Amino acid sequence: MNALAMPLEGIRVIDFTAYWAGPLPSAIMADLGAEVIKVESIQRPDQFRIVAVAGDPAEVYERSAPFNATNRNKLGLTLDLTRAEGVRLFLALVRRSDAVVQNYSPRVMPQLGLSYERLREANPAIVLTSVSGFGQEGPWRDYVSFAAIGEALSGISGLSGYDGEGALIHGVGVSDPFAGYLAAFATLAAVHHARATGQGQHVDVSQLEASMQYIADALIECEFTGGVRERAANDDPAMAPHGAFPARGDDAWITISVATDEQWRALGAAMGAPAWTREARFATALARRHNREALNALLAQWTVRFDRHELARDLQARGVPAAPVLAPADLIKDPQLEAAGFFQHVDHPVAGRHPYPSYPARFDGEYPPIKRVGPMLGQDNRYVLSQILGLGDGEIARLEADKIIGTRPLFGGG
Amino acid sequence: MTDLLRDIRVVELSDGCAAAFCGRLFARCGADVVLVERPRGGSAVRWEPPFLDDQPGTERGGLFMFTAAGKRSMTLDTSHPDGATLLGRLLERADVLIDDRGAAADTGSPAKANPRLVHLVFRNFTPGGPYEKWLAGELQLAALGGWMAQLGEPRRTPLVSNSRTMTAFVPGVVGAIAALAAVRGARAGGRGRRIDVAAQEALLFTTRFNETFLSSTGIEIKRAGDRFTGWAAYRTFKAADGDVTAAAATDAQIEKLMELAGVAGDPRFATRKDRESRIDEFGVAVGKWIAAHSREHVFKVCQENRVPMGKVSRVDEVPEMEQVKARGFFEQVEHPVAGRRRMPGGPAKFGGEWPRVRRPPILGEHTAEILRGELGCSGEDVAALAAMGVI
Repeated sequence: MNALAMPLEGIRVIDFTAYWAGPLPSAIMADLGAEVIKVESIQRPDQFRIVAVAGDPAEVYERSAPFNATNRNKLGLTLDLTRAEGVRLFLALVRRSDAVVQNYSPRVMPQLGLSYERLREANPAIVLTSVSGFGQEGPWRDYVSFAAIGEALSGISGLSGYDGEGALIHGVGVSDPFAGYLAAFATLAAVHHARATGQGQHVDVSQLEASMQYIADALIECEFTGGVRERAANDDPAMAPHGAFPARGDDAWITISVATDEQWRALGAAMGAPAWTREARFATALARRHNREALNALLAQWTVRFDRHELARDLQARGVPAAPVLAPADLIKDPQLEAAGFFQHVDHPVAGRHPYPSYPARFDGEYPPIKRVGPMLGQDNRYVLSQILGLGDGEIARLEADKIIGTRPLFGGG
Repeated sequence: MTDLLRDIRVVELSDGCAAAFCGRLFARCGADVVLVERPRGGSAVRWEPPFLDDQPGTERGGLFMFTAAGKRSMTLDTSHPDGATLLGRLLERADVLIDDRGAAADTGSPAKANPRLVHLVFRNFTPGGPYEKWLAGELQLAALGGWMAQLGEPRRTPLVSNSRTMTAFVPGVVGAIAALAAVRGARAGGRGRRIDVAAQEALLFTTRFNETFLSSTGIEIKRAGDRFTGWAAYRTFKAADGDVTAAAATDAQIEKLMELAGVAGDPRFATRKDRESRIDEFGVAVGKWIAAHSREHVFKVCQENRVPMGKVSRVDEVPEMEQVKARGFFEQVEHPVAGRRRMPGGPAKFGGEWPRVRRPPILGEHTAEILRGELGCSGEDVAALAAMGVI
């Protein structure tokens, strides 16, 4: 094995997913070296190709940045799974794969004739990972979920917002990646077991349950102390100041958090030790926390005079934890990420060349390479059908004529 | 059968929640995870709130109890030469070293003793950049990792959620995935790897590829308060007893929502374009129906009609929700100090079952067992190590 081989080489994964929570785990496995085959159909491409980009779907389906980023390093296969021929080919692939990842509602796979039992008949070692809103059973199993719904029900939204105000939505859509990450780990655990024992597994990951795990501190606090945590802006139970403060310029902010008296004195010195910093109401950690509203207001009057990057550097040099709040336009040229080489610039035949974030783990100093992004709809039909499944040219041509496979979407019921 | 990783041995040296959550994922799936702790006070995670009845103590930390479930605890002063030797021996037989304490410095290069070892290191920033030496708590990482710019009202203070684990666990799971993949690679005939995870980058990877989107479209996605910009029905609404969140994306879903709200056929909102150009009016019209009902009612009626809707739950309501109970997500853990406690489970169901329930270890509970049974120490050695304060 050469030094650059990625750890999951030799693992094959079928990706039957759409949007983000489902495609993410298989993208991670693809980054780490697995051969991941994304299955769409010309009748029903991944909707992430369309909803995340403006314009006529028939024109823009290869241009969606979120789709192209989330499906990097994957092969593209089309199969019409509403027809027996498509299902037969899918099962043939299952026989030659380690895992299937899917994120449709729990009814969809069985309706297509692709229940876990069918998959297991085809290959007892297969791992089927289902990523859903609420799980494979229970009274809500058929309910519809998107990221913000997982956040609302799990308790995350109850912890996200300004003190005493209503719930806000994470622009990040956190419950999708939260579920996606756990699905990646759980799939790899099941594949590890299957490789050792020959025994597959149905792995069941939900956005709701995944999201609850990431707010373990608040849920356990309730059980251990009876305290019900609520929205509290950026306040910390122990630290003050602890927040984001305005800096010079439009929508410019700097975070500052003070954990010790030493940091408080250093912050005071940075401000030129104005008289208010020596008042009794800010003298101790507890006093600062009690009077944090006044403290935050006074601090904001000072921070707003400075550039957020320069001020952060100055405070850091004095031993005070501080950092500018970075938005996408900052991050795309952030010197720290540039020094690390975090964004990889990758060409796409239609979408052009753009920066894509690396999987955030360096292996012996290198990020996993992003060899390509996309894939284009059905771009690897020939490779998968002939090299993996052994179909001849005539058979592939017939599948194309029958619209079991193809490379152009049939929008509008073609 | 949920002990999927029972043939994997992990050694964990952790003071932070990222490394601790990483170790938890391995332990939950059946790996043997040995948590190496300082003889006095143990891992710093033991001192993270919340505490049982708000009283700090070695065996009273809720986050420790959550992250350490199923691990074994061994005390060892790794800065003492005998401690370093024993750590080295422990690593000779390990598959993974999870490390946020710079353990390599104590033992030389762990990879030399065991070429198959996967050495996973957690840091805040990748070395070599301008932030390398920066002090960073949760707020700084969330600010530099692109999260804060995505939560809050436009132009008002950017926010983090009021949960420390939400950001802390992200690098942990990112590292766990990488390490488990690397174990697979080593088992398939490769060698161990050194894996480095930086929290800033792990958080940024979790933000939906906004930089790629900006580069592709010129549009910068930023926080939009209680909604997604430009979407008529992807937002929160006020119900009679709190908030609900709608995530209606397709025309069919939005039209069904209008029907439920009694505004079906309203000419002001006939098409998607109409709704988006009168987005506030649309919110008022639909919001009137929602405001007259409870969260539970709105949630149920919408979902029974296939309209994506969620109720915003308080953390004390979460364990009581019917789906959460039906799935058995929370588990009862017996603990010598805390007694019988309800804890969150996870990470996933395998073959319809959650991983089996295991309690966290008492500080040093397994020290003697590991030294004598696995590292070849005599009873006399163990006594000497204890007398020297190494264990």
